[in-house]
Amino acid sequence: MKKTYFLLAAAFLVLSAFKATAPLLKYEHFKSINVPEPSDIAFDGSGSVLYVVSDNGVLYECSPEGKVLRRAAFEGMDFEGVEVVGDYVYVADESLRQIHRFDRAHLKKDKTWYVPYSGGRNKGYESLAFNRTTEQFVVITEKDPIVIKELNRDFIPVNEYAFTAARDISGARYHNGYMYLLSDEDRKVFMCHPETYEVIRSWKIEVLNPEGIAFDKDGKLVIASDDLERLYFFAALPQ
Amino acid sequence: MSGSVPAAAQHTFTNGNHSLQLSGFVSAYYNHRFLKEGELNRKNNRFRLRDMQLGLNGRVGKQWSYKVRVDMADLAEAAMKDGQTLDPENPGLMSAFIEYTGLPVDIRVGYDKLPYSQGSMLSFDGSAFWQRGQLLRGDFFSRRDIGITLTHSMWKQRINLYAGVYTGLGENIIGNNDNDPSGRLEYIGRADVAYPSRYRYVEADILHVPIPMVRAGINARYTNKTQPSGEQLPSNIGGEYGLRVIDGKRFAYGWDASFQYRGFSAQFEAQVLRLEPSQAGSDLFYNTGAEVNKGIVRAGGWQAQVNYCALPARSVLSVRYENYNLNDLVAGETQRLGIGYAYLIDGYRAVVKLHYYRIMKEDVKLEPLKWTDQVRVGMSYAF
Repeated sequence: MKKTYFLLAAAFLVLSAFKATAPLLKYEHFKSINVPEPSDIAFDGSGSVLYVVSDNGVLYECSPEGKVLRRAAFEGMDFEGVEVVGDYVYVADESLRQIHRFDRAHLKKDKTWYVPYSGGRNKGYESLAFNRTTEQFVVITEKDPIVIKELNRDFIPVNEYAFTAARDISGARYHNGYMYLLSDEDRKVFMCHPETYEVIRSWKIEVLNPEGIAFDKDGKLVIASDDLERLYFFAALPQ
Repeated sequence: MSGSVPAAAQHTFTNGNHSLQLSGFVSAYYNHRFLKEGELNRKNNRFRLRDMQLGLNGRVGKQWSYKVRVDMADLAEAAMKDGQTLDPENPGLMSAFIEYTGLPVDIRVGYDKLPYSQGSMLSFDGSAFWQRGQLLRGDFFSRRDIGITLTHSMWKQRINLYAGVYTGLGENIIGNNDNDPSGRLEYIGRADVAYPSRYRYVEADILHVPIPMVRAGINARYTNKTQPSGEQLPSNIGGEYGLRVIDGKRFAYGWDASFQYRGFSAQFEAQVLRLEPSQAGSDLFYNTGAEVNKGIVRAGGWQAQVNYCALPARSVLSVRYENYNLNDLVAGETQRLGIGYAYLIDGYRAVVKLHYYRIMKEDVKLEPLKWTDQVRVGMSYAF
């Protein structure tokens, strides 16, 4: 019997040795952020303001280092995605399948769209980004399955893609002509073709529960950790 | 990469303020027992539909939520049985509660898992085993009950405090409706602390967390079900070992710990029962005199489990050791070894599981067994 146990354990270890690798990105430093469960981050066009959304349904305006400057009065249920386009901040409420628009001057919600999706309540829109190549908004469901939906400016779906390169997707951002997708469970950043969403490159990151991805004014990568309530600052990604 | 979108698990309806999710879980296995020499009854060599669960899970605004979850397989099985003890790990009705989260303390009212024992609170869906450890599966203490639970989290959810009051009859309250003749309730408290971040109730580290994470918890429960003169507890309420509910005072306490890092994880838990039967002639005293038993019976034990998740092999391997004593007035203990293997076809959504049991040491007086080893292999699917 002992021999059987040993053989089983040895077989398991051999099987587990086959490991797909992606280059590791090391962060330069991190900062704690006074936002409970930050679930996505987005810089404005100038890179001087960082918007952060929280699992408790609140939008925060922060300094680039994560210091809270203002918070919106309107509260949703479960904010998981944020994007800045022009004078507006757009926020995705995962559970209710809603997109809210806030004007940046007053952080006041002025419009809401309903984007139907019938999958799991906590597996809804985990990411919101604006694809400047296609000039479409992009929302991505978290998992089971991962669905990339392109929406026009009235948030009407115009195209849909399946994404199978990760177990989940927790964030998305357009940067320098590419779409970057973030996976929480695989702790990976994927650089994707902006029109097909095919993976071009990927990197591993050592951040617990990464849920938000953004690029600062110098093109450096910033990742938000939900569980640790921190921002992790990286160097610019190789192109 | 791109292509047709596969079918989704779980379905959600929302009207802008209220979201309702439908979900389910189905599992079936084949069980084979290796009997002792001379044992001829092989009734446990069989296929079994273990789960056929359907769940409704809703949120209304930010402050109300509710959940109803039933296991059709257990309900059907219970309907076919006549006078048999309810299996606490498969009680049929699994959850039916409403929760208000608009105060500093979350308030849950209804029927649900009790905030007691890490091994009981862990979700079965995320285990490589087909059964919880014997100490924690509901024969030493009830795992579900009707009552009210207060929960408070602090320090970024690293500290969680639970307190609640329940009927004390556990899963049997569903069949009984009324409390026992004592009319008394059970009180439960639990505290756990995790570091460096909140720690979800999972066995295997399928995320391969990049930093070492730990959690430790303590919990206790008390009830006094001393029966009024001429009255007695409902039948079959004591469970497999007669320990879940007793005529008398019952105090239980335990502590647990959990660790995970880069695919490795481990859980440890210990439980102690201190029973004070109200009758000197209680079966729990096993004919010992008061000068020996001093009116108190103790039971309990511990279990330790280690797990490794090999993501490239889509596999989780778990090894569990259990050691428990059913009554300190009777010499003997049971030691069990369990090896679990899960092949994750689609994460824990679709899993093939193999569970091997071995009795290392048998308590021949209190728990004589007809078998030495057991293998259970089957599949589960969450939708």
